Amino acid sequence: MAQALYRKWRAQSFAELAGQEPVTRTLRNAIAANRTTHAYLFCGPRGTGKTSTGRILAKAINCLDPQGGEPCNACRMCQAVNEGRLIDLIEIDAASNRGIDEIRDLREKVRFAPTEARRKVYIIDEVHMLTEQAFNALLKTLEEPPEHVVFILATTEAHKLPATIVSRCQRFDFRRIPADAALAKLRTIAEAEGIEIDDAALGVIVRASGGSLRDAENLLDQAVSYYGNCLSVADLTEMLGLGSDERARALVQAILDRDLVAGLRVVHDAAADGVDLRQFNRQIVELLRRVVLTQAGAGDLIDASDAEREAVRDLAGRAEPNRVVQITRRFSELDLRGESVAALTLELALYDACTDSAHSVAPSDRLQGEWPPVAVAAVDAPSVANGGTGLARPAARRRRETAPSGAPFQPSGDLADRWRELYARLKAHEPAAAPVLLAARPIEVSEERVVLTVRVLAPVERRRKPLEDALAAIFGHPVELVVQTGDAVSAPTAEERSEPAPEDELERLVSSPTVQHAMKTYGATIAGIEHTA
Amino acid sequence: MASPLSGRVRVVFGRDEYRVAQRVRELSAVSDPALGDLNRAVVAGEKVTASDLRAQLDALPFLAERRTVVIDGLLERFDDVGTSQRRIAEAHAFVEAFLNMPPSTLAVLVGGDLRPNRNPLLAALSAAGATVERFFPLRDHELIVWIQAHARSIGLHLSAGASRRLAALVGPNLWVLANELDKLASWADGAPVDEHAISFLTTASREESVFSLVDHLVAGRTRESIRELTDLLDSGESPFGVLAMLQNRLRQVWLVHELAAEGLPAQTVKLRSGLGHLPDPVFRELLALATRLTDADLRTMHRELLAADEAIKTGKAEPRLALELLARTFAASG
Repeated sequence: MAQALYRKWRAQSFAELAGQEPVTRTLRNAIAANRTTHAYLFCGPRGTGKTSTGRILAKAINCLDPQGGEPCNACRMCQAVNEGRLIDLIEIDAASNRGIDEIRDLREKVRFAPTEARRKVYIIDEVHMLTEQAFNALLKTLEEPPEHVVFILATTEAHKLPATIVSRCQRFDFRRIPADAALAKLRTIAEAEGIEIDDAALGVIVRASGGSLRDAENLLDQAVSYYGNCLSVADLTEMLGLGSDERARALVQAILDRDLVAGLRVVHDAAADGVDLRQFNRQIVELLRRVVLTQAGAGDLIDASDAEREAVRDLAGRAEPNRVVQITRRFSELDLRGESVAALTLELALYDACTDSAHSVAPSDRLQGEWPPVAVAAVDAPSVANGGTGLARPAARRRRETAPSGAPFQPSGDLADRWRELYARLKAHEPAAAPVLLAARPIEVSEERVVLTVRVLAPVERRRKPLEDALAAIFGHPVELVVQTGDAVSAPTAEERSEPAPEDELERLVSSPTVQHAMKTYGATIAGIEHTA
Repeated sequence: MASPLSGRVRVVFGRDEYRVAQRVRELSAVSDPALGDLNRAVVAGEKVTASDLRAQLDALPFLAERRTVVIDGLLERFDDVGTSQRRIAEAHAFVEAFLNMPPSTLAVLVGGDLRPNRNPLLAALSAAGATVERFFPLRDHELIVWIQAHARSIGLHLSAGASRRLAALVGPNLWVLANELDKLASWADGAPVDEHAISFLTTASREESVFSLVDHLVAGRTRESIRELTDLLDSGESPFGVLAMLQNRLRQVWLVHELAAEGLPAQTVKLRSGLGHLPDPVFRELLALATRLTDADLRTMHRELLAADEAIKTGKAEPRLALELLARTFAASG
């Protein structure tokens, strides 16, 4: 059976370790100067070379012919480690051997001299999984280990280790593999394995692997299995279920421009083309993240080409920073696991983002499961101008509709003015029902009667009761509501003729599950329908 | 007449665990390595009885003049036991065991942060002539002297600035200092080491990075806070670790804020807040930050942190992004 690339290309010497120069230099020098210690702690994200370094260190310590601190990889000790048969190299997975009994057992065995090597090396992986008692038991051994033993503890969660354990070890922090180092390593592998792939395609793999070389090697392996030895950017985006960068950019632009229709089109097209919407959403979030960083003045931290940076800068100029943060949060928390509703979930988030529906979470709600909005409670937040620290400046929130006035409505002015004022109050009073009157033409607005003409009667009739109640509350007394069919809003212009009738469109909008959900869940209201080019 | 335990019983204790361990190692070093641990016994003092201990103490050395018995944890059993006659009698039973051991036995009692005035066993041993050594954590100049001496002993050329920087970053934890110095010695391989290398290579500089991250956050310096955060995460720090450190630091800031609001002097605030272990420069920065913040600032920050923590731990948010957005949120439109 063919060996996985990440195993086949596992670093066999310090020089082969990618992206960890300070660590490898220190360890190589320590070996060369015979200055090794008895306990090492390797911390860092997954796939950054902790276990590989542990094995190389074990090899170098026991190598019969070390060369400048590097293992020779030729002597019987090195061979035994490479083939996984050196009895004095003991690898323990702390996740499944985490109790006091296992550590006691280890303490007993530590006393025995190595069988064939100079020193016994224990690699304890995921050491943060040990129990408190196990750590206590281990501490004594770490403080005074027998001369013939070296411990190498590896963890992704160093902060979970007791301070006493950490202090007894020589600690090395492994960095995420920088993109250029990962790309260089993949390029080496590709050339040696006869894989035809350009740097752009390798870049797709590197970005998808998030700083883990092991993940990058696995992705390359998978791609070769799917598409053979000749790989293109298109192959990789397809394999990873990614939409094109242009598509993600178009959606983010629509979001920032509050262009719901354009955004919905992008989502629809992506879904229709079979794009994995989870991956697509990751691209959107990553792009939004880049906008956030750019707006924060940290755009140079983005790993991107000049053209990509320019595109991000363009996006960054389209929306104010707090709104972008809010939108990024909204999209980052989307759960798109259910394939059948993934598009709907994305559309709802899009609706929120374009209408700012997710902006008004009260601070007191945050601790009950809502992730906070950008702005913090004004009561808690002295502004810089007030001598505060700038920590809690209220962000520019979108102003809500004017609250209904307490005073009864008294019609005044011409008919259009009276209707405009009445409609504003209706919308504030009965946000779920008022939109059906959005395209109505007023015939009469008086203390006694409100007469309106609409092109389709049914939607209004279905909401007659809440509308009448709202009118009674607004006028301070019951008012007759008369709705008749006929021409509604003024005659359409030539441009508007190709658009559907306003009521039809409104009815369709109000009946759509997406909008229904938005209204029910988020209290959204339809402020109007605007068509964009 | 010489005291009965003089030179035969050594008591080594104190908060400086590194120097305690070093001293114990020196005292219990075997004279003939060929004999291994035959003339060295380690007794777990937490549970040993007086008669069991006597059996250990009475054993004679094998082909050597001296046998060493290291007893760890026994002194702690008698710390702060008050005037309990039973415990005092028990302490005397142990002292009897020491008094009756053969002259070839050297007993070394090891303890941590004991209270000598409230420990009947320690008092009795001391009265019987045992040699008592106590190790306090090194401070300021002493600490720098220790760093320079240790560096010299391992062939590391450390500049004066680098010594000061290391002392400020790590504080008096000599275990950590010794490991960091060993690491630096290997990295430098004979070349001189300056302050920059300390910041670059020392793990403790991350704690400082978190502190400056908090400082940037609360001062509304978005760009700097995101940069600091990116550096921390790229250097391999776990987002959960950053979150935990942020929470820890904010908790400290709040505690110091409350105590400082009572008008207490800085040193009192340091001790009463339980932050006595922090190097002075670090504490001074923390105090400055704590006094700059209002109650409302602190409440808001904790609320935001809690919400981000929940979002991360419930899988609602990708950790790195959540932290970046938190930084952006804290800094608001800075």
